[in-house]
Amino acid sequence: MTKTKPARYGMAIDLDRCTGCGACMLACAVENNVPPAQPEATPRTGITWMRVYQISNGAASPDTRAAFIPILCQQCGRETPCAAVCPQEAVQVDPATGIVDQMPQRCLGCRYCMTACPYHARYFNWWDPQWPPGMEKTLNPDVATRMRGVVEKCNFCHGRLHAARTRAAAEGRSALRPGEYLPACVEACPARAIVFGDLNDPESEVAGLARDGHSFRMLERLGTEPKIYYRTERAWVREAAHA
Amino acid sequence: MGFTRRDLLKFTGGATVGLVLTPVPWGLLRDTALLSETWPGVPQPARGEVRTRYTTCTLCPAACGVRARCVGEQPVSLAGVPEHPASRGALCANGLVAHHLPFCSDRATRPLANGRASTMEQAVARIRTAVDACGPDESVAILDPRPGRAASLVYRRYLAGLARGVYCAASNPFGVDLENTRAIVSFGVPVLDGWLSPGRVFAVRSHFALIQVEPEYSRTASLADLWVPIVPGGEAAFAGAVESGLRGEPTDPAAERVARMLLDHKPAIAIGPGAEKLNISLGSVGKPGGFLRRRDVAPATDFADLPDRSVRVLFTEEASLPWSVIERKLVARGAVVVALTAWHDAYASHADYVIPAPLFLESLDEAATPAGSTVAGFSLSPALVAAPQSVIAPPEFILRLAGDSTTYPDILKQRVAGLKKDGQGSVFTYADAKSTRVRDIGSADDLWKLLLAGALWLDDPLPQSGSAPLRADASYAPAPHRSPLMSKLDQESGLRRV
Amino acid sequence: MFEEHRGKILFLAGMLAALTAGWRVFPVARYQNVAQPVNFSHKIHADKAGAKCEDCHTLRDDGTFAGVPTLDKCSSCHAQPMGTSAREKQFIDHYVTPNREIPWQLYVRQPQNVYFSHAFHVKLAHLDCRQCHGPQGESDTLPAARIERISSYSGSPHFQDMDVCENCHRQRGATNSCLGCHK
Repeated sequence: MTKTKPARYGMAIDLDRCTGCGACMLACAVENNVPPAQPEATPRTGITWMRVYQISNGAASPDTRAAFIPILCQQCGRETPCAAVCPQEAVQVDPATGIVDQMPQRCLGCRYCMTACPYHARYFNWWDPQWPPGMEKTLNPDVATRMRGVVEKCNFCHGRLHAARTRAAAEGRSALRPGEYLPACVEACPARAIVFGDLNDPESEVAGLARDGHSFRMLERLGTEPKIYYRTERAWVREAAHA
Repeated sequence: MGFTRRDLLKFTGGATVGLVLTPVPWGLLRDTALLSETWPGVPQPARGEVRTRYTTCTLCPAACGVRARCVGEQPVSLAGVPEHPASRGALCANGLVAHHLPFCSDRATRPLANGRASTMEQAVARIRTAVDACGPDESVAILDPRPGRAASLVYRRYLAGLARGVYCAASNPFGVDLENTRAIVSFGVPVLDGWLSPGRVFAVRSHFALIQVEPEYSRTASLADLWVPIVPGGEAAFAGAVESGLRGEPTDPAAERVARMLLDHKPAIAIGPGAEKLNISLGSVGKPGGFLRRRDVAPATDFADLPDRSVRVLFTEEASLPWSVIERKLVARGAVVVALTAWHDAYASHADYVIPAPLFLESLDEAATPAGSTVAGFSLSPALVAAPQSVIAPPEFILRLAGDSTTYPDILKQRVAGLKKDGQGSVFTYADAKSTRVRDIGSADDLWKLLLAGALWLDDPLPQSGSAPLRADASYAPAPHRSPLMSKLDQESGLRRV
Repeated sequence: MFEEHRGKILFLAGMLAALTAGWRVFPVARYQNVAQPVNFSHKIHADKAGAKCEDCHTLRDDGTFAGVPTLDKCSSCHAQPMGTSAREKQFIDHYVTPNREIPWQLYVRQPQNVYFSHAFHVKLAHLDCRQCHGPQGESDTLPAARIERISSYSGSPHFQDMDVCENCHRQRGATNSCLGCHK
């Protein structure tokens, strides 16, 4: 059986390019069949696998400036908190890709993983998903819909990984070329703020950016070894992220 | 002794124990669990062959290229076209979810006359009467939110045939050489939040210093290199102060700071209301990094320049100006507003006649020069889904009013034939990101086929003279209707408070 | 004798009834055997038309599997009768002429969240069609599809649940992560 070297997919997000336009949030919802909000949904109970937060430099007007931080599942590589606590073994770190796989179909909805996640990157289906009449025609066939009562989160657009692997397999390849597989948020960002690739490939752009001095990770002191690197040249943004 | 209740209990007990030792409980459990995945109410994505189709976004004048991933005939996601000259492979948040628009409520699907259902024939007859009834000081106006189209020419021709027809649009023969600009002073223009196409602006963001002059702490102001909060209405005064600063005269500290930045980062441009004179001081007209003139578009009247209370019959497409601006220009009594729109709200809620129009993706449409482009452009926006029965493309409705039975696709074919005849420029095809000179394309029919498969025609650059009068470009896009998924941005995250 | 052990005997009788029902009746009653709408013969098409599996069951360029072919595949030859059988004439009258897609029953209709890629198994694992589909290609008739009555999925006898997939994957060292096969 053909075996390829295990990949460790990760991202480098340039916070100096992000303008908080929300294109990534929408592209994610479109790709992953995330339903629109129920009338009672709030920022606490909505589902936003990719979510952009706004922070401020705290200066007085007119020197107030904003920065925007896209937060998604950080794909923790060490002692993955959500995987450690799941009673159903519905969360698993895939050794071949490094992606933290979440199986909503196996989840029983205890939400222990949501408590465990330090990045608040997991979302619960408080309601059955509902689309306006006819809009189910626009659902993506590469991603299964979820029902109420299960947790879901970013999985680096696994449907796209399947599609890319399948295309490569049709050509007889088992390894993917760089750029052949991109999550929806990466493709949609008009500012090209997100770079995606295999951190295990030393030649890849993301690996280079991860090594660079401007890059840092969220809550590094927890030791979760996330695979999302953030970059900024603005000192105040870096300090705010470390707070 | 007969069969007693005790016997039944014993039998049942045995049956229960036996049942547990069979696959029955587990099988039933599994099957009913699986049933719960497919009972009515659980949406299932459609299965089918996945295809890629191309079109051009018509939600705003940026005219970004669109690559649609379709399952069978239905688009399930939209993305940008890599290397597209105007949009650089990106779509904005609105474009990404445009394929949801046909499923939004509040869709106008039938002609309405004074709020009641009507027919196309009735509407045409009544509107003709209203047009004929115009008095000596009253005009018929068409407010065109996307000037420069073949449809725009239909409007002009119709109005030219009337006694007092006025074609209103924000005409702007200049594009912005953004790639070479080193500083932008924006008077309220949302440069980072809806100006031109985001892909193009963000591709060069690190090349220019951005000075945002506006009263509000807008998204653009929060990300600008310098934000100057002025008093509302103070744009012209501040621009004047900056001009003084550029000449070296003493002026207020903020204006001096701005002038300093503009002198340090050349070439610089000014955009927004109040920017015209400043651009002359900056010498940005006709120069690299500044405003470059495109092939002439016939001038149009600015709607705001019309005399108040002078318009008897007004035709509008999708909303582009605040209603209060429009209302002032209508005659006090007996004004007739005809909204050629896909939606019930916005202008339709003020209109006497609502003529339902097709949405983006539903019917063959066109895009004129992409906003900010330094050369003239044209693209087709082929339909990807079926339109509702009773909609009519706005230019086709105007043709009907004029008694002309030409269809909109025929008008577009004529336009494309004209492009082939002129032989100027080249065509960028979306599928392969290649450019072909128009001269090298065989026939008008070949050009039509290329454009129909997803392509952008771009003119050749014009020689610049640098002395043409500059009209400040304030034509940025109004917020179109929202996909239900936009709740991610406000209700579910608070990122954008709408 | 019976009266002495009446209770135990009845208990055992109940158990026996349940065991019989559970092991003999249930596995059969659980499924509906639904016949295919057209009694297609793989053998005739393989012998007379020289067709191979991939002539109709194609892998597209993007790697997705076309599955059961659509009507245009059949119409490309059977626009006019190719032979003399009444079966074929009936097929042409019912489907080809009115251009109606044949409502085939799927032998393996799996839940939406299952991701199976023919491209991996055929192109990378080099499995032969017969290894999973049996000698389907040589059959003269199409077997009835075994559809589960309650859940309306199908896949038996082989692809009842994921044990078969997991075993083969484990033997060959293929992925066993959840999202490797689920979506």
